[in-house]
Amino acid sequence: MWSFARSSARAHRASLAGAFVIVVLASALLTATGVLLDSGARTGFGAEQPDGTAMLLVTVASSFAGTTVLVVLLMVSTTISAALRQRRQEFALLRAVGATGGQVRQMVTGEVLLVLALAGPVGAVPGLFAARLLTPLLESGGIVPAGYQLTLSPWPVLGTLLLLVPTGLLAARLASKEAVRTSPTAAVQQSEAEPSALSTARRTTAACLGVAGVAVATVPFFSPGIMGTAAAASSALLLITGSALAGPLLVAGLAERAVRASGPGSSVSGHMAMLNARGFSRRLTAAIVPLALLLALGTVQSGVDRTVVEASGVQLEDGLTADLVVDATDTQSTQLRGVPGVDAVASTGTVTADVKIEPDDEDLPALDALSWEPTALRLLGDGVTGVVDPLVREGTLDDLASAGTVAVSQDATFGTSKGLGDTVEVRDADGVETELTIVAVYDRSLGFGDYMVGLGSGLADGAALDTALVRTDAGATGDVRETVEALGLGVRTTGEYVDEVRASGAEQQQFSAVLLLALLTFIAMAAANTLAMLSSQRGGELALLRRTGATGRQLTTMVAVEAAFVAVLAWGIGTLSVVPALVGAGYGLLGTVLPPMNWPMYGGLTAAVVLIAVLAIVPVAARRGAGMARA
Amino acid sequence: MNAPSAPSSQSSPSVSPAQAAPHTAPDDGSLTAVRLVQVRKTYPNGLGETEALRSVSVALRPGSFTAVMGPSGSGKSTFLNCAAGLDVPTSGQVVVGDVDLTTLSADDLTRFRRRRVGFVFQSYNLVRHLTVAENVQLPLLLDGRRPDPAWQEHLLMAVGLQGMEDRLPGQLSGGQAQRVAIARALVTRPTVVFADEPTGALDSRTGQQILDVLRATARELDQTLVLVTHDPRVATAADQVLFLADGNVVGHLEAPSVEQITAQLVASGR
Repeated sequence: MWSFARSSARAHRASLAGAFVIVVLASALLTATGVLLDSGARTGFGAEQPDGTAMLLVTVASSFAGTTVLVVLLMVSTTISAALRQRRQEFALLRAVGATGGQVRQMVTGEVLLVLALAGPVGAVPGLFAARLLTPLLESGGIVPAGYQLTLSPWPVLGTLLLLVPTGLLAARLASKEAVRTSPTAAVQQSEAEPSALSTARRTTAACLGVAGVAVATVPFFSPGIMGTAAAASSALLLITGSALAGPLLVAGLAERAVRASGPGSSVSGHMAMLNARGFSRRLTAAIVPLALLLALGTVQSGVDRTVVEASGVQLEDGLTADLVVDATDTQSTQLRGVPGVDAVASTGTVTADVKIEPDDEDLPALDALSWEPTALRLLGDGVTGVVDPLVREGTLDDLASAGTVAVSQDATFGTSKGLGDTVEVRDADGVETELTIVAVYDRSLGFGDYMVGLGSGLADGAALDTALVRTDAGATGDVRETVEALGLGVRTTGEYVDEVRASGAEQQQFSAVLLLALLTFIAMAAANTLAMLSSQRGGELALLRRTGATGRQLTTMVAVEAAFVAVLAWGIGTLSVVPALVGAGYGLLGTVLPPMNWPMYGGLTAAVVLIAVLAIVPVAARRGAGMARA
Repeated sequence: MNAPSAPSSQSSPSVSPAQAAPHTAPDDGSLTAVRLVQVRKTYPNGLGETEALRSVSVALRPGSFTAVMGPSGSGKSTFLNCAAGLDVPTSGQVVVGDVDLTTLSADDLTRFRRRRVGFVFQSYNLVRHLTVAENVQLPLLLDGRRPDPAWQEHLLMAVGLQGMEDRLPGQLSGGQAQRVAIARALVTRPTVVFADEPTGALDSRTGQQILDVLRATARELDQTLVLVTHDPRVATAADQVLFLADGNVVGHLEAPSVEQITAQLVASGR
């Protein structure tokens, strides 16, 4: 069978090459993510860094990894099934000539395995080193301390292969399903056109995903906070998957309506384009989904990121009743109290430590190491009450003056059964573990962090206090500010301070932004490749139209209309899928119903969708249609 | 010859479905090459079904040459597909030699088919990226057997394609492609050869050549030949002609002339 496989590969080398490139990129992305996770897991539980920077790598990497893995695998399976799509007739023919279903499946699996076996390692190696290139970004974002080195080990590569291979094989199986299962004549008939009806299972799953997607987006209305927002954000992916399943129905339905609506005066090419859309709705769905995903993922992620930064600012602003924020040590803060016009001064600072809020796992003590989270705790000095208001739900911040106490945010207790009176374990920079009792539970975790401790906790002394929050008498703010400046201390109004925090928050997100961009670029390339592959398979169909009497120009216009149809539907589906998620996230974080949108990102992604649709479809299909005289 | 049920097999162009009783072989144990017993085939059609074959029973003697004719939609191709094991009947039995195809699993059926049955498709169905030689060898390849160069040479010479082993299907004319398809159908030395309108898209001279090849090889290898055709002139070469209409066998003529065939076609075509 080797010669058959070889000549088959040579004949379809274009689509194999496209699939190869996408799998290489997928492998690189997955491996890079794996390196971040692996390094983070190995070294992450170190608040033992010399300059005190918390190791946030594991947290950042794991939040990015989930989406990345899902999206990458989805794109890989789309690519492989698009590449195999054109072979359906060949598979059916082989069955008619005497190949058993098993033989056809073997052939397909063998080819896909070959691509994976070559492309996987080829992509993994650059992926390992690409992760290294991210180190400067990690450092500038404050996610890892300066001079950090990512560990390179074989585990990320193994993990990547373990993910890629089953996905590719599953896609191959599905693509050859009809050739394997049905009788040869049925397979030949089915391979010439698309099956029109969607199976009940598929329709039901699509409906369930749609309902689930909308339902999940309403979670923030009942449980606001970052957890609710995360749930809402996942609604976009659910809705996109539902659209992918129900896509053919949608596309065929819209196309049918367009066909009926077009009267005798309407464009011939447009009419033909809609007929094609109706007849090849599955192929069109395969073209639309990656583009819709591109738009949806980019919009949701950037929208939520922007909202988080916005919400942090809002929470901080609402929670600080101070008028001025001064860079002052503990002793200087005491001095400030004496300044005329000053009503109250509260000193705060930050302490880095590892925190474990989850109870010890009795069954798997080995996993305990993973529940330690490196965090920056907010240290509250004297006089805080009245100046700092994190919206305490239970308990009171005053109790933080006692020894061995901690205040915890509502979000941090999510999923644990911990509450007022329970304990939290903290491990400081020297590795000393202490248990702190929860004396207050508050809401504003985005503005103030998840944990607050007082000087009584023993984690830090007054030396760690570096900021003074000053409340002035009415109208005296300007004078106090001048006085403080004269003292040589850095001072700003609360508004300016909040802006600074917002800005640095946005900077910290640079890393996530870069990762998001890498993921979006991958999706864009996979989408373009899929579209190009699908278009290049249309040679026979276009040649037939040509022989029936369509001119080259009519065909090109028809293809252009189809590309526009793809772009519009992708934009529509992508936009509609993110609306519930953004509304939910907006409400959960900011309390508003108007969804927060990163308009430049949305505009850019829309333009990208249109550009990819047009550039990947029109030239390829036009060339096919123009050049061929015989199928 | 099959036992005729009509009063005279040379007349009665107007044999109605009711009168055409099942052509079963005499139950004296004599071998039939192909036998269909009350084969019914339906296809789902929206909410209902289309009956492509309605309880067809036919028995063909080994070594015979049978032509199957009828208007479009009469079920000719379905009949051929079911007899050759390419499709599974909804009910009834298909027996080739002494093997009941309807009892075989899908894989066993495929293996049986590629070893014992040759099928010439209407649309050639050659694999575009394989050479002529590789296309002809394909059933052997799928069976895991080594090709026999001498036999391949003989076949290609018989179909008139010697020297073209390395051409690709895209470089062949319609007639040449059809001849490759015939060689492929014959490469495993099957006992029964089915052909679905093998001369349909060819000019009359090439068509005649194709027919001659099929008959010559069938005689040489003692094969049973079943051919679906539109062309009455092709059908006259057959030992017997079966007429299908609306999924039933409506007529049967033995060694008929062109006029008799045409008359039967007109009558059953309506």
